[in-house]
Amino acid sequence: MIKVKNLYHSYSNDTNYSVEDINFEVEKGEIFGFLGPSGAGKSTTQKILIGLLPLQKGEASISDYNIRSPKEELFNLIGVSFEHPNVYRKLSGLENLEFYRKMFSVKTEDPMKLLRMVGLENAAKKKADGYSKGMLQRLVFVRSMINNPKIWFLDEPTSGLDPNSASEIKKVIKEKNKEGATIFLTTHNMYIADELCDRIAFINEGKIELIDSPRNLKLKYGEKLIKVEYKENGKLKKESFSMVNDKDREMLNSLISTGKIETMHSQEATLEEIFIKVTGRGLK
Amino acid sequence: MNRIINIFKRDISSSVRDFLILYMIIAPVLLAIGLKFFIPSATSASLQFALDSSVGNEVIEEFRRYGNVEVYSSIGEIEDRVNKIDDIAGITLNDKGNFEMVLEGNETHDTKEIPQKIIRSIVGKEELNVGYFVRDIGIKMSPIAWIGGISLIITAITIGGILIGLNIIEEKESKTIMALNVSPMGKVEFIIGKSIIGILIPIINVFIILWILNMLDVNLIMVLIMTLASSIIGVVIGFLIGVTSSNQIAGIANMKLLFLIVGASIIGAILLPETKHFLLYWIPTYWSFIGFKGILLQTITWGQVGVYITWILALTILIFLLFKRRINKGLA
Ligand SMILES: Nc1ncnc2c1ncn2[C@@H]1O[C@H](COP(=O)(O)OP(=O)(O)OP(=O)(O)O)[C@@H](O)[C@H]1O
Ligand SMILES: [Mg+2]
Repeated sequence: MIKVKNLYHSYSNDTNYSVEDINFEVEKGEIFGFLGPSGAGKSTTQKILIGLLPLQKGEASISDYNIRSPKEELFNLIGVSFEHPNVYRKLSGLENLEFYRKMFSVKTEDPMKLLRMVGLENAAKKKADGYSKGMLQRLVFVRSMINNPKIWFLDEPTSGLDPNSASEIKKVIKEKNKEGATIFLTTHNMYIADELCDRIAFINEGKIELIDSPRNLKLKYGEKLIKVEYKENGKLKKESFSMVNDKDREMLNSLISTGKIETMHSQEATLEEIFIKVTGRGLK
Repeated sequence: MNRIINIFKRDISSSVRDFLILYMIIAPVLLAIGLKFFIPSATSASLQFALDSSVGNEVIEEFRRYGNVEVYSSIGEIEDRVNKIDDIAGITLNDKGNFEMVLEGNETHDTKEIPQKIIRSIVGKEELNVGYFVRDIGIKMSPIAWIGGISLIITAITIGGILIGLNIIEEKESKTIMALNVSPMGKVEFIIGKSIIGILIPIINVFIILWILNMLDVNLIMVLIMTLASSIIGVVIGFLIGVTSSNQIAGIANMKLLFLIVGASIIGAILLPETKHFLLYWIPTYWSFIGFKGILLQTITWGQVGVYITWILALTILIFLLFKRRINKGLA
């Protein structure tokens, strides 16, 4: 659905690239995550794909439409949820959606239904000026669904949301995906990436470091740990044992054979730990 | 088409919810109401007659052809009316059945002379020269009336451009233009949609201004065409302000410069001797000014309207071509 080949972009139109030699493909029905720290080039890549930044160097197509010369039909197919809530502040949430839906030439969703979906039904008639940051975020999120997009671009859809709203949003994303939408999601939140994405690209300083499924990444890079609680001399003790370290394995074996173990969990590395391992820096 | 109207309707709702912008929209009308008080008997633009009903319907109808007629049933009522501040000639029949005029004494030449001519034509002594009559009314319009009227008209047109500018600045500041750019809306639809407010509001305002100032007896088709042509300058300038200003404050700063140039063209056209007017030819609103002057004073011909509009459109196209790339880039 989305194909990107040797994509470069420089805001200063020189060789000072903000994204550099980006290559990836997103399959139909997939949730593809772009995970990386602030300034990595996630939004830049998304903006090129949706035609907000010019394609300077490289190739990219969405659903076989070359994005170098985007057609009207392409924009009927895609939905974009922006990183910063860009809505008309003097219009109510409902008016914002009513206005935006009229821009499309395909069947659109009922604005009220969308607002209800993210708990904005009571604020529907209020001017967006009076919305909180989280409310605005939810409004741009549902606005991006108004045309029932087949390909959905989500830039940090849960940033700035309380855990409840965030999990509502995640639920909606999963549902739309089940209905067949292909989703391109950028985030610096590893939990979101882990929970939602079929595959993840690690992006750092404008370059993609690797692409894989969360599970494969953990299997490949994650050092599997076994966390054990056991009794020794009547005292409860906690210890982690690495499964790749011979000495740790021996110790764990002896603990098991003495039968002193109270609890035992296997613990995977988090995506953040893997990210640090791969790129040498954290996600913050 | 739906998208264009949608954009226009949104601009209207958004504009009237902003106190500053709403004020700008109605300011020319408020100023026109204010101006009305300064125009000495503004209604004298068209002649007024207070007729005694005893003169008969035929005579009343005859007078109606030349001005406003008020009918009274007694000489006392006519005297009361004539004594009011504005210019009006009273006409009644005396005991012998002859026409008699009731005047205050301070009336203008026309107010005294024209009724006499009409009466003479009725009693069959003289042919009335209607052509002369119409021209004369034009000249009689007070300078405050026509200068004030044209200034308000040009202000209303300029404000149309400013409305466009402010609405584009709003799109840019809130980055909503990005959301539109990822919708199927085309750039041309956007530009037309955003232009309507800057054409429609001036047209409405211009006619309200003329109505308030009692100037609707001019060639209204000429008014419409002149307003349309002039508001196209406003549209281009509005887009220019919109794309060059990153926020409302910067926009208002840019508008001050705009008002300076527009003001210069009006003041220049009034104060400079005709031989120096060529210094103002480069300002499109100069042509609007002399165009509206001719229309209000009813001295303009269609040929002149054509010349002025050609100047306006040519200058506007020139401005547009000069800044086309800037405008295009600013909307991306
Ligand atoms: N309009 C711009 N002009 C110049 N440089 C820019 C512009 N927008 C982004 N950049 C630069 O491009 C690089 C990538 O930015 P981008 O917004 O794509 O990062 P991001 O991964 O989306 O970060 P975040 O998580 O903070 O949203 C950064 O170094 C940033 O400073
Ligand atoms: Mg970003």
